[in-house]
Amino acid sequence: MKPQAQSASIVMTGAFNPVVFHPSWFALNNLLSRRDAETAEVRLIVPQMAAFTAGGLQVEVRKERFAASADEPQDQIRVRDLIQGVFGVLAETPVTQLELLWAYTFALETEAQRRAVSQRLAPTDLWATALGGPPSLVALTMRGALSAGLRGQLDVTLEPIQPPSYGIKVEVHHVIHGSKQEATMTADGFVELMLEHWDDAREASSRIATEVLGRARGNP
Amino acid sequence: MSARHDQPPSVAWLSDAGSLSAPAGDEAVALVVAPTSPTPESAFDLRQHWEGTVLEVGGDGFSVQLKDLLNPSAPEEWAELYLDDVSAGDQELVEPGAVFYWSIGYEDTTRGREHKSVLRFRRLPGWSKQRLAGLKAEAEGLRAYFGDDSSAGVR
Repeated sequence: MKPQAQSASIVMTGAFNPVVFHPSWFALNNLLSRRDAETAEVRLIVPQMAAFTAGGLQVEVRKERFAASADEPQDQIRVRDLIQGVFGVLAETPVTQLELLWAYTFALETEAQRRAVSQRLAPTDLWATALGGPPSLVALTMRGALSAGLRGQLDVTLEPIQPPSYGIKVEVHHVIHGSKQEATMTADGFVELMLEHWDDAREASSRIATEVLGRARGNP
Repeated sequence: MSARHDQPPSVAWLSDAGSLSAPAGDEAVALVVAPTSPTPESAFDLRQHWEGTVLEVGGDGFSVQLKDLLNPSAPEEWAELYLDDVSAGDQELVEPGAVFYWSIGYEDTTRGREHKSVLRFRRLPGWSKQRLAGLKAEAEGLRAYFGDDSSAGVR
């Protein structure tokens, strides 16, 4: 089953100064072309938060997190490159956590199909009496382990899309912590982890999303 | 993170800690978060995606080696591309060793389905002075550890 839409995000948790992250800073450091920086769609740049879209990439920086994402599949690898570039410049920034997140939207044809998937994920008869009416699934998150050698967790969230569209959104969220010896590492350490595990995490995310949704739809 | 286009700007209060919340005192700052400007509804149907490396530049073109990102087990390919295929902002990056991404697919827009081919060069910053100093110190440490034997190596 092919997703109708997919996006990728990378988040670094640490301490940042959002006001620095203007598109011109990215152009100055050769992380965006001058044209992309000049045509950037700036939503907000204040001391507490910076948010803009440029060249198909979205950047949102708060004091405690730096996030970059892309909504088109061909731009996802550029999110990785952007993070590598930003934290090549800011290599010494203390960082406590790295998150790699892929989100897939699968279209379903009818409300009945959507309800059948929800029912399989979370049987409603368990809730009907307690809630005094027909319950509906809002979201379900399951937690698993990351691949060997990584500290953190793998969260998979399934969320039925509410009418008028029918579909299921699946988010696969790799939350990677620092090494046991050093809970806080410098950003370049997390960039190395990201580069080492990006391909595997991306493939695992796609496989998990497709497999779980396939089983929820009753496929063997 | 993308904003919905069919909603008015939302008003939020951002505390000094950075969390969005209801008004919470003098230090809270009222923000109007503007939605991104409406763009035509479009979705890119990616059919081919390569990571390319520039091998040689000459005349009005350049030769490249291509790795299939949608089918990593496919053998590598070679091609010749025109400099005109590269956007003006990226042309300065075309040099041997440069990495780029080449996407081919269809874009469904309000005007209909369009064939699209996009080249985007990878951008990485140069080494920072701090990083260079760190690497130099690391090299000095390795030299001290292994000893400075200038007679070693290829003659």
